[in-house]
Amino acid sequence: MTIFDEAPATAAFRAEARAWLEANQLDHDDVGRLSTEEYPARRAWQRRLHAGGWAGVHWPVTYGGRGASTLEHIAFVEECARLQVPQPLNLIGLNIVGPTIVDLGTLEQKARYLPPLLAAEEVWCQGFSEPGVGSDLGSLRTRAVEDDHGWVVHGQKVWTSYAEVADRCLLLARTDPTAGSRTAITALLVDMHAPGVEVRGIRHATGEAEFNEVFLDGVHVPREDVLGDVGGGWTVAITTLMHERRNLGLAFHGETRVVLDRLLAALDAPGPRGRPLDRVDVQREAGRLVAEVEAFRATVLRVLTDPGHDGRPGPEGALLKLHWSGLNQRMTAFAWDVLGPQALADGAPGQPTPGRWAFEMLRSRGNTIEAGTTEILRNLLAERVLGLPRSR
Amino acid sequence: MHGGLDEHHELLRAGLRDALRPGSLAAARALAEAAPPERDPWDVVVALGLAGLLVAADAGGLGLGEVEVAVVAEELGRGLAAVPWAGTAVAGATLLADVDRDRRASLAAGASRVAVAEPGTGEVTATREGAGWVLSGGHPRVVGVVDADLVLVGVRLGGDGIAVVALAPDRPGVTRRAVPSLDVTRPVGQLSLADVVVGDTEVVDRDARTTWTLVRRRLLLCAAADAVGVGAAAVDLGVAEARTHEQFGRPIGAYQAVAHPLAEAWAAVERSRSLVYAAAAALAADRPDAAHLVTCARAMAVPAARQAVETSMQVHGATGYTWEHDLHLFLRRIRAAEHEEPSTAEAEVAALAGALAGRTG
Repeated sequence: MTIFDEAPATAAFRAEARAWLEANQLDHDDVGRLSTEEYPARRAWQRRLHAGGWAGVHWPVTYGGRGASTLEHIAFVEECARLQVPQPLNLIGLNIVGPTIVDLGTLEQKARYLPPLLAAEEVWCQGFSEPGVGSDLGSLRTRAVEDDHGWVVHGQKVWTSYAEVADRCLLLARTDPTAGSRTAITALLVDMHAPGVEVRGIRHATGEAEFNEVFLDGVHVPREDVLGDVGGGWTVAITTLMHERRNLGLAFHGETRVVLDRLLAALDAPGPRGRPLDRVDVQREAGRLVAEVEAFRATVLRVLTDPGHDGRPGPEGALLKLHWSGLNQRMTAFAWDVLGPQALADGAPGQPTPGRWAFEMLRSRGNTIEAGTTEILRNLLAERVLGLPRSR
Repeated sequence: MHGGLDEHHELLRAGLRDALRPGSLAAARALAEAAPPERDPWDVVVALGLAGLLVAADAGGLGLGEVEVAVVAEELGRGLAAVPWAGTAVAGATLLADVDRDRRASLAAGASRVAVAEPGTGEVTATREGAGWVLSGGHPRVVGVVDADLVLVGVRLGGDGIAVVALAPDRPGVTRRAVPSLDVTRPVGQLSLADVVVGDTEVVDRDARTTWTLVRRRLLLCAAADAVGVGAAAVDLGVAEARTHEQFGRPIGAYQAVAHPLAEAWAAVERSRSLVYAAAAALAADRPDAAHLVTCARAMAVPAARQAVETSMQVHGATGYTWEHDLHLFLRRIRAAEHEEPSTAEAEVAALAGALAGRTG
């Protein structure tokens, strides 16, 4: 059996998920929604998922998850997309920080942090990038200096999603100013409500302050909140990247389906210039996008089930993010082009970004930049998959 | 990165690839010079039993399915194999299954080269005469018809049924002539029927509408898989060139302007590969989404292969543009593939969105 055939066990899991989701989905009106306005609904949704035992489906059962296999996890994401349920608020916690704590945390850290993460009681953000330090993470400058109780952090992080609602942050800081990047960096589990932490929103092109600057001015971090070894931050970073690649790939898969379903519904509806799908040129382009979404799905299946090298996923997974970002830009641009001023119909005058399609189209310009720029991903594929020389 | 298939699929792939190399590419080069190839890649295909891949085991075939079809088609594309495999082993075997033991056994043994003229791609009228029919008309472009020893034609014989008519090309009234074609590995011919009398021996299947639909889907799968093979081979050539050819003191692959298009070409081929095999698995399991997936697969794979070949040609500079380099042969194969019933392919892609919208709306 190929990975493209669904095993009976996976089909059973899918059916169970579908039944639970259909019975428990929230009523939500997201016409004209802007992303931060969705946060209360997303928190409420995660609480409901958690109560039903569906938060962190892919987490080990020991840590409160459902122990779902990769294929079951994919099925769950698809069922969520089918019903267009919101993303859980603690997306970074569930998909990146939590699995990293499962891999590298102490028993105490797991007991302290994982349960409130799953329950959306503690929301997590990730403090990696800094002004001037994006793709080249090894040169980060936020410092942590040891004192009697642990560490004191000074520095600044940027592009930190969810920092404005976060309770905790997985933060990378330089703990040894003399060493090279592989041994100089330490991962810290920072309390975002601690004295010295200041969060300032950054508005992006849509007008939304969806991410933030985080200033750390003498923030105390107790010794027990070091994740992994002191000086072992690079290992933590690689681990988070591995989880991010895998779980973001899945999240993209779900979102792509939702955008496609909404796009097709909009194209199928009557409009001031007729029903868009009556036009042959619209049919052709829409058909190509449908085919691309299917190709993306098949590739998600293939990449996420890849046994990889020594059990670690290979670099080929970068092609998921690379593909998704271009595809999402094309789908949202196509909606904007075809719908014309009708795309603004669900917005209101005075809003800088009126309505869903305006938001999606503008927001999509960030897709090829966030979580690994397209240029970096192409470098990665060229060097580590195709074996081409280090580039310039 | 794994393909997501089973081990026996990879063994089949490796065995075929090994057996085709290098005779298959050499044969394509010879055909470009209008010279006879030293080794006929069809002999390789037959020796491995692949003419009978879809034929049931108890009828002399391998009894395999669409996933294996895709693997074989991909490797034949990679090797630019000049073989009538799609017409014979895929379309022919499908049309003859369960209705014509003798012709099917001959096909499985590799004893016949079959060309298939699908319904709707030509104009053939059938007039009743006694217990038989008289056929007139023709198909303007049929792949492999000039060298075929059996031609299977889709004809409406009165009423609603679309029959399968098996014609030996030396039958009175049947003529074939070569027509211009861009791909030297797949010669195309015009099939003309002038008052061809056919009876029960020629009408293999009186009402084969569902079989013809299955043929269309399997041929779409072949075209998509062939494109993956062509694209993957082109990427490999481009990467090899980028790693070894030096300018300004370093391999040209060190420049992002060269490396990035190769990375994008690789990614395009690989995502189309994923979908081709997802479609093959769906067809093999007769799933309700199989037709949808196979249309999507072809829609992705052919443009991706074109992107890969054109990128590779660019990376090779002037050398890649010469007659002596293989790349123009890959380009010919993929560009000719885009002409294979374009109106059908475009119409099917255009229908994808409407069909899905109807389901989700």
